[in-house]
Amino acid sequence: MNPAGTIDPPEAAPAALDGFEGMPLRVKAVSKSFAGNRVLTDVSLEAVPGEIHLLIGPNGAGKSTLFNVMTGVHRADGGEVRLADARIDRLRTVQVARRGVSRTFQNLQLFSDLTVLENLLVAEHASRRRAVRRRSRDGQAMLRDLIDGLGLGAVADKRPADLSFGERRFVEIARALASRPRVLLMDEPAAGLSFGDRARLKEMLRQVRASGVTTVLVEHDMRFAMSLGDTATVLAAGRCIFQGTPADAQRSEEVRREYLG
Amino acid sequence: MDKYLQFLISGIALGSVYSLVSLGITLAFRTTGVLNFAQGSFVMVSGLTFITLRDDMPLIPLLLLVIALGVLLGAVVERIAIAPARHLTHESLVIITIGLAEVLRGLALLTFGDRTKYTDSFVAWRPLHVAGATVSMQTLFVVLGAVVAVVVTLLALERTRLGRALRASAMDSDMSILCGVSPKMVTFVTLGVAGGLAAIAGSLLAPVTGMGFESGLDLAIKGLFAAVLGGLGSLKGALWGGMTFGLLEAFALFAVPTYSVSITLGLVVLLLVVRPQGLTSGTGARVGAL
Amino acid sequence: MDRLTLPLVRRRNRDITGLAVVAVFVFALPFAVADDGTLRLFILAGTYVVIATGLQMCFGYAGLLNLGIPAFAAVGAYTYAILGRDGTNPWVAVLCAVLAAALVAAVLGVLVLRLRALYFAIAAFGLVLIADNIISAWTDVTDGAEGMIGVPQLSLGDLLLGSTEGTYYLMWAFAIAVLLLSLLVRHSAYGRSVLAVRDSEVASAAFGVPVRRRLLEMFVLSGAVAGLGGALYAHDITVISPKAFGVELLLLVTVVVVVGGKDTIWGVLVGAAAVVLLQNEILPAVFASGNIELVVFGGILVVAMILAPTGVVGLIREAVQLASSRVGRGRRAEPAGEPSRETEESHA
Repeated sequence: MNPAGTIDPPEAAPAALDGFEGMPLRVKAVSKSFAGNRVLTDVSLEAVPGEIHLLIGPNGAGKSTLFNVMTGVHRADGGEVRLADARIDRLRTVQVARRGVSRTFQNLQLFSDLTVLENLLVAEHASRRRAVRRRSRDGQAMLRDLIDGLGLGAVADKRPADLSFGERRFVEIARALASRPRVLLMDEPAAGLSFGDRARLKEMLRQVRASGVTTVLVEHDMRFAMSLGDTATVLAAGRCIFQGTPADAQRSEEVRREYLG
Repeated sequence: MDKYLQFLISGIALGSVYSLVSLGITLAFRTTGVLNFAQGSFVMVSGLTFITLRDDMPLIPLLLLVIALGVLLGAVVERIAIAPARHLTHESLVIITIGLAEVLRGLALLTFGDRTKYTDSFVAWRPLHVAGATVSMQTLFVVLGAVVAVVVTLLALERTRLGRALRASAMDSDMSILCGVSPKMVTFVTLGVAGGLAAIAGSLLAPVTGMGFESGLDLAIKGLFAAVLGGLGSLKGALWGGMTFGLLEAFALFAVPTYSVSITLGLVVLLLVVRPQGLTSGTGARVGAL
Repeated sequence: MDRLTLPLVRRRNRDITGLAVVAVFVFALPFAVADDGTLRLFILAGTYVVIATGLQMCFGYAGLLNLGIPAFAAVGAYTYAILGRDGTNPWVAVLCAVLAAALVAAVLGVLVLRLRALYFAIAAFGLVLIADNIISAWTDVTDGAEGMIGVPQLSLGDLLLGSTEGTYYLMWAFAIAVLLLSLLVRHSAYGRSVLAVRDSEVASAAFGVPVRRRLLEMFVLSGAVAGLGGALYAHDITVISPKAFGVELLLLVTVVVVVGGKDTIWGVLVGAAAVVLLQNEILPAVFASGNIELVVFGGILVVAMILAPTGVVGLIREAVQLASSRVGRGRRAEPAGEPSRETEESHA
């Protein structure tokens, strides 16, 4: 039985991605307003290495904004974000990225004039600047694993415009992983994916978790999220209304009211 | 004292012309997203037409004719060069308008020759003398003409149905489409209006500075800088930008005449660096902080 | 472990080989064609290639419409001419010309790249007017609007490179070098980051690419290359004036890049050939009036931008792709690009 209370078919322990490691991400009392509109109020969460931390809530709850604050796209009005013990909320996006925080975008932001492989290479290049203790394999092997693991082998030399929607989603995800992130922020990666693609994504995320990377997953698809998540933070109208296991989240009265009800 | 008054007067006169040019540019930009690098050429072509026909026609009909031709020019340009390119990037449209500007410049060269042409003022009255400064009649006409043109345009935007449609499209083009405003029509009308405004500017300016096929570039760049200075995207900004640019230029002409162009443009760039959104709050110029 | 990047390496090698072929052709041409007139056409084409590559790298790779390119060419030309006339070794003068253009681009870039894309285009356009003004007004140094004569020429030891053949080889040696530079930039990790910035500033920042610095670097590079072109032009003609670096040059260089294709060096070569032929062979033959250039090239720019935004090279590429995909490559289960209709609901 996994935390969501459903039974998954028995499977071998997922192979971990080599050379990855995670770092804790702590968000403390973050608030953000835009032109007088309060989008985030006093939001805190702690994402831990080797776990998938769900970030769920209705549309407009502030999830993407929180990602933007975490990655330096917006500056929080109050509160702080820490990667391990270092504050990152005052850093620019480029600096946050160089510290090992990777993300996917809800509305795909692929490099449209570069091939799939080139998209990954751009991200992989960034990771070379960090002093990440690599274990056995080198960057190319890692990219090979990512490409194969997400079924992109046949299209590695094509541009995003020539790909199917599912393939484009996977490129976005592969790119986020290509930089060997310590923290992986995923913004609705399963949206619009076919059943088969969803299974493949699930498998990849399990590998990521097994590697020790810290993952924060925003997801609308409850079944998908619950089957993967280890902890959940529920946002509604910019506030945290629940934190705990996914199973408890489903049972919580408040969450039901705000979101599922 | 009179020196400063003189430079103030020329500043206002220049500012009036630039306000007209900048208004045409900003209007087109706000409603269609097209940055018309050919606006200066519109002015130049209209001005040259005005000068050429001056001896053949009385003033008022000539002005009306030139304005009508200006509107026609804007509309034609929109149909053949802008409408087919709606789906392209902003940079591509800029390149297209630059191409247009050069076509007009070349046509002017072929039609009107390579010399600057001159004409008389609207009326042959003697200049005024005010507190030690001289104000030529044409200068007065320039300022008055610009004011009238701007007021009429703004009123038309406020009061007429067409004007409201243009404003709606500028504010929210998706919504206005839902309300039945056709974006193609908006672009068409806007470029026509821009052409008309350019024609007025050209006619007012022609007696003062003369017009030649080279005049368009100068006016285009200055008009664009003026529009940007005002904060591209706000009509109020276009006027403020035009006026300020005119005063800056008058100051530069007064202080360092041979380098006036560089100083004026340079000052605008510096101003934008300090305040990227321009003088008024338009759509703003700064890249997001990445 | 290079199997993964094999397609990339192959593309780069293919381009380099192609350039080598061009180099051989260029080297051999004077042996086949002794006619001065033809060589002069090639020299002109080479000048356009150098200057247009500056625009191509900036616009094609970084998406920056550097309309100020003629101004940087002017900085290069005048730096070379002024230093050369004062007795500096012409090769040193060329180097200084490139550095001067780069420096001006760096200073201006820092100011102007803070502005949004369209504001940047306007500011860059203004540089043309500013350069013309400064050159015309600073008569002590530049001899003013009338132009500067007596510009010294480059030489290799005892061999004066001022002859038609000498200038031909000089111009094309640099043209090939500049094309090679553009090629190497494109096929490198650096170049990938530049294209990434053009495609999505948000995503490239999110993956560690210093966006503003990249744009500045490409702007400076384009200015430096244009400056080189200006200096070579000064060597060639030995007479320079502000008129040579005005909107006409911008128009021609833009036509080269747009008609040829802004994405690759092949576009620049094709575009330069087309422009030189049109300007010097076709137009004079068809039209009696010498003043038709502006209308024709302006019109071409408009039409090309509307009908073929990727240029001739882009069209050829699309045609090839269309042909090869019709020869039955793998098809997909779902139409390209649409989200799947299989959602949780259908598998409840």
